[in-house]
Amino acid sequence: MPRPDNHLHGPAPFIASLAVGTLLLVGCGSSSSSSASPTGAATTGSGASVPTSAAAVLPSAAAGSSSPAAATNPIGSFSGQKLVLSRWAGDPWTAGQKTAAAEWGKDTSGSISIDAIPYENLHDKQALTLAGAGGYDIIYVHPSWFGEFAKAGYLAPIDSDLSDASKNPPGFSAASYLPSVLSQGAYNGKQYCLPDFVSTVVLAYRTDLFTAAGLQPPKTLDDVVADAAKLNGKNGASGIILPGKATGAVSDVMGSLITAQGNWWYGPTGKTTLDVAAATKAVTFYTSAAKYAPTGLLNDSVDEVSLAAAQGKAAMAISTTPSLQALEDPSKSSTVGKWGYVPLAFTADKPAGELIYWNWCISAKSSHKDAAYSFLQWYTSGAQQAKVAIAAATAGATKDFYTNTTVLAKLPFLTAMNQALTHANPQPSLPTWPKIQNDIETAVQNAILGKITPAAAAAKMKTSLSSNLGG
Amino acid sequence: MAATRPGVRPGRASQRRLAILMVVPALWFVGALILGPLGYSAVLSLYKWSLTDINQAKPFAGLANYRKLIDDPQLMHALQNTVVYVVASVTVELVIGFLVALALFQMTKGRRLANSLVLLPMIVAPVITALLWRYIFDPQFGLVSQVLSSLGHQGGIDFLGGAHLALPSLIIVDIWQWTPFVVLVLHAGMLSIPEERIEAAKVDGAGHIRVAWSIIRPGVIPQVLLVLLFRTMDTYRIFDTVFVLTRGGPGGATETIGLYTYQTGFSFFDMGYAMALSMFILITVLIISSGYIHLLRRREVFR
Repeated sequence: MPRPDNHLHGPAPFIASLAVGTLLLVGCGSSSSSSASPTGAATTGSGASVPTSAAAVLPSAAAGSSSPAAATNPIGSFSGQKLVLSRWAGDPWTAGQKTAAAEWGKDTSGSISIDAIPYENLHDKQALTLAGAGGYDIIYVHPSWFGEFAKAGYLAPIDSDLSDASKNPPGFSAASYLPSVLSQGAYNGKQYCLPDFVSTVVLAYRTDLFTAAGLQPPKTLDDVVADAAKLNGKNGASGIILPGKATGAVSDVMGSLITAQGNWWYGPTGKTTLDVAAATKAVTFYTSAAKYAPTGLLNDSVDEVSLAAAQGKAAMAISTTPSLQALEDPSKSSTVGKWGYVPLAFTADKPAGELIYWNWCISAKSSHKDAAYSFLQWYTSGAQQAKVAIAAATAGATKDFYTNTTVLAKLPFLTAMNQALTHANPQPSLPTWPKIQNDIETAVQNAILGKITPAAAAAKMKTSLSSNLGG
Repeated sequence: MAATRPGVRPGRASQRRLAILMVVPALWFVGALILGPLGYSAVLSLYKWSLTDINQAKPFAGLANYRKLIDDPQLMHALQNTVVYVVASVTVELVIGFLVALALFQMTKGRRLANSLVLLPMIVAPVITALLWRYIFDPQFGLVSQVLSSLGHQGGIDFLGGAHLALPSLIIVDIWQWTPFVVLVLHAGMLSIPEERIEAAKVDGAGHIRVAWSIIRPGVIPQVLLVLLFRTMDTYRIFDTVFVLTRGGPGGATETIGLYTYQTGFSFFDMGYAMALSMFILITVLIISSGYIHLLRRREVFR
């Protein structure tokens, strides 16, 4: 069953609401930088152009809307209160969370124990716990099951907390967040969650290999396929690598590819708006790129993609931004500093991506809701998210996050990410989405295997959307 | 004092009552822990219930979920994959298991050590086994690819991402892990064969192969049936290895009925249909099992 209309997000409202936090960032190329442009031009793995170009525009983006990121202490004192937080297991996020929880506990006299389990089991564990006696106070909720939990009444609304000056630092409120991202945590007019883990899908390319081959950074996806063909097999690297395993990332890439054509899976009414021609073009790109990918593409998740690219197995990589951090991590990568990043674009003037994010929510059965809100507000604030970003390459969802020049310098793909998010749709959060996502990914896999044509794969996607969305 | 049946001595009747009373707790546990959930699953399969509607009323759907079973092409596809998986895994495990058990049976020195080593794969948790094989099969960094690369084959082999190799690769993992179980059971069966029977055959001039074929093979038929029963049930419900290694991909090439049921319930939230799928698995396993049990009871026909 689709979520109510006010939770279905088409491109228009999203683009409008992103304006405050990210749209002006994209203007960096046109304002001053010679190395970056709003048409998807490159930034390098060294990050040299990023702080300059982004910072040149950011002050105007932040002016009048929020103050720059400044560390504030958690609000409140919760002596003796023991909270339980549910999230997926995986470093550096879990380790960073434990550090933050300890810091919060030190300031508030409360304590948080973290129940971190593998992502594959997270939904089931959370659903069973929340349907039973409870047990969780703070829950990290993926968009694909946020609607389910909100509808079932598992989550506590936080509107009154957000508007209560005594529970927030001076000047902090709902307006401190990027409205487009914050609105993803609302259901039936009530705000339930605070967002973080903002990321998207971009293309990384090896600057050294491109230079050696006399190639310019790719501006369109046609360039990407042509460059992959030219670089395939040279220097022991395949032309390109991208996710092929049905774990959600294939759907994220497909979402970016159809967004780049001004299309989306569904519209504000909850019915499908997928243009079969646009989907066919997206699948055609996927199958064309797959010809120049290393063996094993269809069993590669984002982690395998970034690992293979980091080890010099591919000249280009399409993946989610958190996973691409591995390319610049000396402990994982033999190619540090050799990467440039560009957004995905079918036409150079329209870079696009899918907005990926997570929701921090409070359990309706929690006995420590004030303490839980204190942690959520503090953890999702710009200052804390800056720490997460530097450690884990995910972006915050507050406006002041984007004024932190230290963060901008540490994330070489941030400019490409922001360019991608100028034309973006949020990761779907419909209760029926997991089934649709599975059908989309199976269709792409079958097209890559040559079992069906790209047009037939697109038609299967349309059929799945129609049957699962009721039209 | 309770009345006693004619012809039955009072002491024996009270003994029977005592026996029944002593069985009651066990029956209660069986009912509460096995039959109860099974019955509840059967009831839920008659409802249209999404996991996203946990606190809401479940509309009664009658046999709609069962009718959907008949028309579901994905189920048929998963069933085909499962049958291939079951037949291939169990057959190879049985053949290799018999040969290894025979080798162990004929060993005179180091049998205990060999027994322990053979059993090692079975001790490892299936998920860990799957992760281990994931890295063995990895076409970029895996052990097999490294060995092939040193022999001059570049580019790796797409074991888990290829439409034709993915299912056989999963079967190899199952064979590696569960052949030791077959060895264990068949070896125990061989040890129970009267030694004088084998000695008599040898005195009559039978060689090793003749003894294995004419004495040992018929002697372990009950154990073979037992292995078939257990391994068929296990492989028919295979889930963990598939989930970790391929998630049913690529393009549904390794989707098994166990994985499809899990996805239907816990990924797509369609619990009503997932329960109907569970009932389908239960009934088909019961039919297959009853066939084996029937053969086990008539095992004398093989002698």
